[in-house]
Parts: sequence; structure tokens; C-alpha cells
Amino acid sequence: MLPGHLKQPGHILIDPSVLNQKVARRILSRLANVPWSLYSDPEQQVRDIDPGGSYVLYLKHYKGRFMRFCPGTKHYQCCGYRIIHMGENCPLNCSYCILKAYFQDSVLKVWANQDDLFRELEQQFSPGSRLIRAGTGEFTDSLALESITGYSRDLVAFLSEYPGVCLELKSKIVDLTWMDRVSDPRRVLPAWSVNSPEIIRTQEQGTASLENRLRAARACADQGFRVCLHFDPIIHYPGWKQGYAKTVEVISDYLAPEEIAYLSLGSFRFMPQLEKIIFRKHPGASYIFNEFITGLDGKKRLLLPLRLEQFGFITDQLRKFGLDRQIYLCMESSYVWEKILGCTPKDLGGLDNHLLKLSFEL
Amino acid sequence: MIIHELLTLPCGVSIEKDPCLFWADTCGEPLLSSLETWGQIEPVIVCSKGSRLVLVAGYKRHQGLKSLGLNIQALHISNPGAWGRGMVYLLSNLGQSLDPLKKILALRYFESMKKDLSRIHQLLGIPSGSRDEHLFSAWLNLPSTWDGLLRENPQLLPCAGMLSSMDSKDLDVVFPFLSGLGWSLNRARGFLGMLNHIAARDRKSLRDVAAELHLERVLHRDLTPKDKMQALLNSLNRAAYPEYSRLREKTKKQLDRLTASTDWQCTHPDNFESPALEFRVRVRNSRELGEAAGQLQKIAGSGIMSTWPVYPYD
Repeated sequence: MLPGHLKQPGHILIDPSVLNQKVARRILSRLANVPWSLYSDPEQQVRDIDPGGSYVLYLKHYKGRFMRFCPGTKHYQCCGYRIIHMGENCPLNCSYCILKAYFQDSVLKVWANQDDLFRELEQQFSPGSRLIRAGTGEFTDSLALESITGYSRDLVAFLSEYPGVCLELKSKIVDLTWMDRVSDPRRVLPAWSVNSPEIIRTQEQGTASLENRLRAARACADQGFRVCLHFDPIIHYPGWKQGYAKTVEVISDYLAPEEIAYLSLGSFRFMPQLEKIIFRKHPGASYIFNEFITGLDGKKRLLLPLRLEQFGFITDQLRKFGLDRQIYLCMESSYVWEKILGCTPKDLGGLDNHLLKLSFEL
Repeated sequence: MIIHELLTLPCGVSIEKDPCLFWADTCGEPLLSSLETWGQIEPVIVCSKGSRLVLVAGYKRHQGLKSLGLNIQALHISNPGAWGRGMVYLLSNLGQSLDPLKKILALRYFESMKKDLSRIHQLLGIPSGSRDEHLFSAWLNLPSTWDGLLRENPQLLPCAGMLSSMDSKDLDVVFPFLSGLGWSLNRARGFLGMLNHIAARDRKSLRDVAAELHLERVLHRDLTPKDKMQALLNSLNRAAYPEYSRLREKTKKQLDRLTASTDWQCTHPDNFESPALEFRVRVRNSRELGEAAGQLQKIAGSGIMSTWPVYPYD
């Protein structure tokens, strides 16, 4: 039985070399009634497979680098998060999802050669190497496929040997099945994207409600984890003040400030080609008609004064709740940092370092 | 198989103009003069519809010969039907340079017969699966009354996609704005894009948006076409991006004050993403450079910079 957010795939495609990998075997046993085939014909296009009204799940032998740096840009301050790349695309259907513009197809891909992944991580995380804050939620949701892949469970078990690594699992759904494999809750940061209840209800199809995300965060806190929250993307829509105030209120119902390792604020930003995708696939997403300008990195983003107003308002609410040092801005300039938080990443010793300290409670 | 015979028809004979003459144009002076000097070198093409003769190709020659009172050499072919008559006309006129209007006129004729147009596209030089094919197909969805716009401004063809997604009421709204002003493609796209943007955002019809912004009044103002277009775009910009427009206008005023009575130009290049300003001056010698440096010193010392940037949040 699959969880509510996950539709059954119409077809599973498998690179022959990963057929006997543990993760592939697990997926095939959990989706025993789904037809599958080996991807052995190089002429075949994955996107041409008819998944019969559902989607294709591709268990791929990934040949690129599993560890990557967050694709930040020089004009805006990036958090320096290290990405553990475990797959691409997402089964959730958020109207604003940047992955729809990043990737050319909607095939859900899982890097099934986990042995190669762990080998590369072993090299990266050798004893004595510097502390690392890493996460899997950049090119996919960290947990949306967990019920069929058990990927995060494997990863947290693997990382128990590496106390210098703090892993963030970022999601919009609720799946805590990985939890019992964690040996040190201080080294895993369960994280949820949060938004206003209205945006979650209307624009984040298939995701857990705000209350359910925070209930899960509470369950994590009860088990000794600190959690992360990401207000991202913050959307400018009529009634946004009430919406985001409500979100902060719900957060305060479930969590104490000290149970939050860090919290980010990120305004909606997108590659220009996403605009057409939103028009076509989500005609009700009226926030796309807002005042977006082309930013210094070539992406569209909300006009700065409007962003400042939103950041300022939400930050005020969060400060009243008791958060301060844990708040950071995702992909904003030092100018915006100064205006909103009264300091720049440089004042904090660099955003990467600052978040590392918060992650490891240094 | 088209069976033909060469006929010599008296000047006064009645020959009807077939609808297949989709590029029919008046006979100009060069052809008239040639017919007068050299006579008819190439026959026109006619066929019979019942007892009537209809002209299938050679409209200009026919017009010229008639006006000169000369007999008409005509190749009489068996009637190949509407599609065939169009093909005969098209093939006998392929030497012409084909602008978007001519292509559309040809496509309109053939499209009405609900047949596969791929051969026609090929003859008109529209590659299969190309962006052009898509644009011409989109334009065919517009009423034929729109084709005159292409005569006036062939640059508008790439707007076909945006236009063809509008219903007839919306098309009626935008037509007067697009005709007669000589829009460049970019500006026309900007005009249509912002109009659609506001209508979609406010869930209103284009007619209501145009009425609320009093766009039609701009058309009746005593302005050059260029200024009319700018006024329309300004009005739409203010409605589509009110805060951005307000900031831009305020910034422009502020920067104009900053550089008033100097040779410097000052612009803000970053869409308010940063407080950066760019100063530019053109000098031809060291004396002018010295003067510009002095002016810059004054600019730096003026109080105007203290109110930059212009964000309301400050």
C-alpha cells in the first residue's frame, strides 16, 4: 500500500547493471505488481515509454558525481549546502516547482548504484576531514519516494560511521521510517519546507498539510532531533500576511525555538522558462502574475521592495516567536541581509560556516 | 490529366476571375508597356465552368491586354477542380518573391478545402515542422480580415501564436491597436503580453482592461505613431507592474536631478536588485576630462545621493 502522496508508477525501467543492487531489489519487491523492463537498448528513449497514465520510475546507474555543491550564483549568498545526489524529479505536484524547468522530462529517477554512492562518500568523508553539512533535497524531495526506495534509511545508517557529517532530509511529506536507523540524532536534521496554509492547499498538490508536517517535526524533536524549516518559496499573494503569520503561529504550536536548528526564508524565484510551464499546467496559479524582474543571476524574482516587505514581516513574526540567530536568507544579497537581519553573512563568518555551527551546535 | 488548347480570344470576351487568383494584382506600367511594345509573349490560362470561361492564371496580363484593347492568347485547360486551379495558379506564379501575406493568402485558399497542406507548404518554402509552419498555421486561425495587418506590417507574423489563442471578442479589442502604428515585433509582443498578463491576473476580459486603462483614447490623441505606441506601453506597464513602474519613474527623476547641468548620464542597471548606479560621460580631451571630474565631485557631494535607493521599505 503506497502512501497518499505517491501514485503507483506505470512502469519501472532498470539499467541492467543495477538490477541486483539492494535498492533495486527492494523497489521491485515493494512494487511487485508494476511492470518493469531492463533498459538495454541505447536507442530507446525513456520519455517514449508509455506509463499508462502514470509515470515512469527509472532505476539508473548514475555515472556522475554524487556529491555536489549547491548551484548558487555569485550575486547572491548561497548557504553552501553539499548535495548528496540520489535521484532526479519529484512525484509531488507543486505548481512552482523549479525541477520542471531544470529537467527535460518528468521521469522519476533513482540512482540505484548505491555501492558507487557510498564509495564516493567514503572518500569524501574520510576521518579527519572537515565537518560537512549535506542534504538530499535539492534535485528531488528527500523522502517522497522513501516508502518504496528506503534510500534515506540506507543513507542515515551509512552515515552513522561519519560523525563529521550532518545530514539534512528536506521534504514536504511525512515519512519517519528512516528514524530507527539513526544512531546519533544530533547528526540528522529532518527538515520541512513550510508555506502558508493557503499556498500548501492550492499550490502544493500531493503534499502533507502544514499541521502534519509540524506534527512530524514534533515527533522528531521528541526523539532528540533538531529540525530545520524552510519558508521557500515565499509567495506574494493577496492575504499573504495573514497566511504567513498563521504558519508561524502553527510552528509555535508544535516546536520550541531551540528545537529548530535553522530556518531559511527564500522568495519565489525561477528560471524564465518555468513561467510557461506554470501557465500551461497550473492555470490557477495567479501568483505568477506578480511583479517579477530579471535578477542578477538571470532568474526571475519578485521585485526587491516587495521581497523586503515579506521578509521583514515574516522575520518579525519569527523573532516574536523566539528565533533570531537561526534565521537565514536563501539566495539574497548582502544588502538584503543587512536590511532584514541587520548583519551580512560576512559578519557571521560566512553563511556556510554559520550554518555549520548551527548544525553541529558549535 | 489537364487537356489544353491554345485559343485566341477577342478583347471583349467575358472571362471571370476565379477565386484561385489569390495573389491577383493590378497590371503595372512596366508590364503594360511590355505588352504594348512586344505583345503577349506568354498565354493566360483559362478553363470552363459550364458555359463560362474563368481565368486561372495571368490576371495582370489579362487586365493589361483588355486595357490596351488587344486579343488574348489563352491556354484552355480542362477544369481540374478548385484545388487543381489553385495549384495551376501557384505553380505558374512561383517565381515571385513570397512575403508572409502572399503565403497566408495562398494558404487561406487551399485551407478552405480541408486537405493536407504539406505540399503547399513545400511550394511556399515553409519547412515541415518548422517554427514558420507553426506560425502560419496559427495565423490561419485568425479571421481573414486580419491578413491586411500582414500587408502593413509583416513583422507581426510571430505574434500569431498569441493572437490565435484569443477569442473573437478579444481579437476585436486588439485589432485597432495593432493596425496603423507600425509596431516592431518586440513592442507588439510586449503590448499583447502585458494586456494578457493584466487580464489574466485580474480575471477580466481584454475589453475591460483596455477600457479601464482608457487605451483607446491614446489612439485618438494628437501624437505620432511612435509616441502612441510608447504611451500604450507605458500605460500597460504601469498597470502590469505598478510598483516597478513607480520605482523606475521615481528613480529616473532622482537620477536626472543628480546629473542636471552636467555632462554625466546616470542609470541604474540592476532592476533594483542592488543599489548600484552607472555613471557615463563622453570626453574628447584632457580639458573635458578635468571638467567631467569636477562635475562628478559635485555630484558626489550633493545631498541627492543620500535618498538613494528609493525603496519604500527604507
